[in-house]
Amino acid sequence: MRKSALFVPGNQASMHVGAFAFDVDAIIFDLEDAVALHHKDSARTLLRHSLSTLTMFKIPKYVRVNPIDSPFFKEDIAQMIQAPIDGLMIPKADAYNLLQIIKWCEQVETQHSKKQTPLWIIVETALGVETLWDMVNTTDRITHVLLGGEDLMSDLHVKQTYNRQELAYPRAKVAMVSKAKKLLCYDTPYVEINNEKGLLEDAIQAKNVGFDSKIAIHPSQVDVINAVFSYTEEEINQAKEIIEAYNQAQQQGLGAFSFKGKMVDKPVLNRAMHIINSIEGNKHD
Amino acid sequence: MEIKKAAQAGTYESNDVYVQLFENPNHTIDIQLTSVVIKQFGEQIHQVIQKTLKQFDITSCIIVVEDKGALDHVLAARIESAILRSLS
Amino acid sequence: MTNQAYAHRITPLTTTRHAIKERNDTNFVKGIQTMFEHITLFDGMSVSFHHHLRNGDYWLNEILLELEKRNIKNITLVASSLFDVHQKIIPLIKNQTITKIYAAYVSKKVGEVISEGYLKDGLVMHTHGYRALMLTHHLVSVDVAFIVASASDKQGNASGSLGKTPCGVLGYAIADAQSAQQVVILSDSIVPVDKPEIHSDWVDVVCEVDSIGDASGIVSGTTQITKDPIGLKIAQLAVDFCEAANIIKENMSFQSGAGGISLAVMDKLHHHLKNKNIKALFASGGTTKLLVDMLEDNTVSQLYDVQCFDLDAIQSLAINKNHKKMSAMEYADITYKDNIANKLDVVFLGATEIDLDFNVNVTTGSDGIIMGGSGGHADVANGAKMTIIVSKLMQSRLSVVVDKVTTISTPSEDIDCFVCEFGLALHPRHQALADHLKKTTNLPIKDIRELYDLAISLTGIPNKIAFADQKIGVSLYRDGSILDELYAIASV
Repeated sequence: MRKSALFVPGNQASMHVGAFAFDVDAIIFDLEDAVALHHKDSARTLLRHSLSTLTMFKIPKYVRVNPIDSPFFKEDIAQMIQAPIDGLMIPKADAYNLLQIIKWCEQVETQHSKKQTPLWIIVETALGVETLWDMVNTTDRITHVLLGGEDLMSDLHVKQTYNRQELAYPRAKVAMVSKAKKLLCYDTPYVEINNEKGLLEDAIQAKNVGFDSKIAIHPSQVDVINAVFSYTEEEINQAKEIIEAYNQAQQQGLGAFSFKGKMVDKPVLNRAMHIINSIEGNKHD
Repeated sequence: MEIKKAAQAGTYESNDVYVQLFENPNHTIDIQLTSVVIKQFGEQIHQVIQKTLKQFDITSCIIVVEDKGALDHVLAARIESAILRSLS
Repeated sequence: MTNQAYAHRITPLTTTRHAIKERNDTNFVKGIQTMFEHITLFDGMSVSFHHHLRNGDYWLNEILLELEKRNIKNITLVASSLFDVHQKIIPLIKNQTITKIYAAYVSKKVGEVISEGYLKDGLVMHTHGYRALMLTHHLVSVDVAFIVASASDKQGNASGSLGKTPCGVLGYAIADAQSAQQVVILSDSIVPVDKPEIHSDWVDVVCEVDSIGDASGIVSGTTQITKDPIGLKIAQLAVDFCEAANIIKENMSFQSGAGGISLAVMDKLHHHLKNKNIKALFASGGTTKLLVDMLEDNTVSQLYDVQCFDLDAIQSLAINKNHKKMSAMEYADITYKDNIANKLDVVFLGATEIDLDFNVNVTTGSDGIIMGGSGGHADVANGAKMTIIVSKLMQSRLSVVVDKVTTISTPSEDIDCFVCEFGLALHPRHQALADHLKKTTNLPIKDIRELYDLAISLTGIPNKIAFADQKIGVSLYRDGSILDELYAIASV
């Protein structure tokens, strides 16, 4: 089980430093969807500078480059591999384009004497889902797999259903393949940023299918995702029961109280509080 | 190298900087800087501008820099982008 | 607190002028021209105003402009605070109509002019609590107090809760009403007032005017909870710290500043207290909807209110018996034995700068220009058991953590903890607590020097601001002692 990973817009200078304040296992700087077409070149340059300068922050750094069929792909890879990154995130990966992608990476790495760059592939096309097993067997560069639900639904020409049944198979496949090859798998972003209940349910679904964690597209999602993936369902339920027992003890005017035969001391109570607080996320009225 | 084609890069957002490059008929480097932190970092910002222009062998331009508190590396990046756009 | 020498006194303590204030019937007039006929005006006079109308205030400007028209010079302005709306008095500073100012807060538009050296006899920046002390102990003599009230009867029983545009409790005006030589009430609603905050006994003139000020400026000046995810993270960290340090408990008392992050702390504290089923004893300060919500859902038993920031606060004050008014004396005057500031368990405040010794500046920007002031900052920081400064580490390339603050508004002795997005630093007096928290929690406990080094590694070292030799004022502590001196900025 892992902490979340946070997407940060590649062209937004103010967020490049701020991103490192959040409790995540990876920061993913985005050159793709978060950057407008006329800013793609300047985002790339800014990001290269940021990555070279912000080395005092130790959270692993990834860069989502533009897709291979875009005019920006080659230069993205060429420049990002020169910066101190922990890996590249590859959109719309499938077994066919992956070969070309790796070839280009190798060329750049040789040119600049760089080690092999780890890859975080995004499975967001039907072809990507079906050829996932081939992808992970073609190269040892892949360390993470992200399921890209939004683009995948477009490819399938379907709309999101309330319980995301359209993702049942892709989720299962990504989790299965990742576990078979001991890779980390991250679930698709939840795009309704203000819907914390929806995010919680979606994250639990992903966890139940075997995902290690879930991508956050906004910092407000980080705590909820971390809570879901940090604690087992048993721990969460137990936390709820402890708080319930505590409230009852309070009402009866009891100071100390016991739960399942044991006295509950402050660290246990605090942990239960923390679990409940994290799950309830950042609520405002 | 002399800047001939006008170009710009950056944004007016907080912690960013907007850089504009123009041809200079006087064939010198003319720096026009405004910054929300001019008192505290004016000289340092000038140094970054001059260093970046030198790095790209720019000998003539009018460079207008409107700074909203960008860190040095952001400034260098935006100047580099403006130069590349001008030269392309 | 010991009795200090009050170095800035402008009039010796006398018994004559105040003891024989004549008890005449209150004069009721319409319009300020007639009002001026009933008060004594002279060069060198001192006038006072409260700031309960914030940026909706109108009459401070109009009355001072009127005094200028009548050729009154060398006025001492004893304003509880000055906002940007008061920039109309800038010409009066420059032409020496106004030569001295006492204030707890001066916003940048007026502050700039003072920082440029125009205020001839200087600026005395004090806390809310010390202003109350100065006035009620006659350390500063006020010749005319102009008190805008949203409602008054013809005798001068006045209130901020009734009338056409209620502005809420008049906490900062009580000292003025009790101590000034002449007291003028200005109101646009002459009506019966059953629970007056200002008593007719203290009042000389009631002046009816068309409007007390701009309603939208009065209640909308308040900051909102920050939406910035970094600010929210800082707020959560502050609450997590309080939980780990055992500050969150039944019958606790707390206050926050009015900044975006401080308000976010209130919101998160509310949820935390609700989840833990804890009831706080009271919350105090300037009140907002956030605090009113806590009162109404029983998270807090009482609110002690010295100024209302929004309509919800004004309405709650009028109808809820547990929403209590307090004067500046009851709030923060150190000679008031039971002042509320001294009863606080924890307070959450902002800062422009905090230095490696934990001194805090809220008075000048890091460009040296006056843009704020202690207000209640030093009062509650000193009074509260735990004082927590919440702020981002950097604002537009300027580090909040500095090696030495530009101006001391609140001294190191009163600051306990600094919380930013990259960690929290405890004052050295809490070393044992810091060590304990490092061992038993995941809280990012850091040395304040680490946070400083991180900021400087990103921003670079800023130029020190050059000040001129000209002294332009002082920053006073809540007991009247001088914390720091204010200097004009060097001309470019």
